[in-house]
Amino acid sequence: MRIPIRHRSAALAAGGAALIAVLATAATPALAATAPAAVTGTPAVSGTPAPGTGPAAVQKQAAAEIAARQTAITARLNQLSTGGNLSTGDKGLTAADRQALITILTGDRSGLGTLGAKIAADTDLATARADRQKIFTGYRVFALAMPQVRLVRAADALTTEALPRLADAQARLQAALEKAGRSDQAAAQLADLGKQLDTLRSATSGLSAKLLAFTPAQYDADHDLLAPSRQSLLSAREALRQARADLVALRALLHS
Amino acid sequence: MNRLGTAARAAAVIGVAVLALTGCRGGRPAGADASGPAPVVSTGAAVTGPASGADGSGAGGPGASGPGGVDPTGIDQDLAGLSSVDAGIGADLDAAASDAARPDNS
Repeated sequence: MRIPIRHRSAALAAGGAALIAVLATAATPALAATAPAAVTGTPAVSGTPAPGTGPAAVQKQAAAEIAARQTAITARLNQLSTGGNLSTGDKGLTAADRQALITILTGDRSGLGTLGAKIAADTDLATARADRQKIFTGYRVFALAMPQVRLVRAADALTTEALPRLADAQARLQAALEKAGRSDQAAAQLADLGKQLDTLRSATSGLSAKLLAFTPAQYDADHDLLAPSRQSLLSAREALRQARADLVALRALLHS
Repeated sequence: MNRLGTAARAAAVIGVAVLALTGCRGGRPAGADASGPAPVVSTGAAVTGPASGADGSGAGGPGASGPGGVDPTGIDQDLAGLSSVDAGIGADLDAAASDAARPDNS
């Protein structure tokens, strides 16, 4: 059986959902028998079992690693679901991006369940080892999926909250300064505010879509895959802070 | 003399009665307790209402204090909101880095 590797096709994920659910359910007893009693999201010690051991050691380790990832995914899904701190009550994430993240994480959890069943049924060490590697290369839960959630939220918060608020404040302050006859004194500060808004727009344009499109395969080919996006967010955040400082200065000028 | 004294006493009694009825015992009536007007603020500065009654003799109202400055442009609210966004982004970046830095990094 081919192990499903995480991809970003919602249609394919939906199409395989029923099969995955059945397989994951069937795999649960086998996993439960070998997984630690309380897995809280931190995996058991990772590494390659010593040479000479049979598939049982690999299977046991793989079960713990899968359980840890599934637990972490479930916790993150709970945050994204109703009542969670990343749910619809959180203004940072757009509804579409929230749903896209839920689709990714749900697919990962199901796929890992299927992979766990495959590993538990492996009869030789080489196959078990190869399948165990797929826990990492096929999903990259901690290296990619978990950071994706947070980085997409940050990008969304900048584009849907910070930018509109800053642009609105800029317009209101500009009008008030003109009315007060202070436009000339405020020119430099207003210009810098506009510059920071441009930086913020440029740094975040299309960023959440780009982050959502990253795949484990891309990460496997480039472990610094997220670095440019992270840098964009840092630049945008710095622009946000500078823009806020401009607003403070303009407010003081208006009230002086 | 007696007639004059009687008239004087009668006048005094009437005067006291009138004063008692009007509530003015030998002085002007107290001024109304005037509250200061509601603050009219357009610059953000706190405005305090007048402190005494119109005739100057009453205790006067405390005056109306401005709420510490009304922000006509709503910038204070924007600044607070932007601080909240900034803090959220910081938390997201930290959490993302923390996930990616797990020992097994996978």
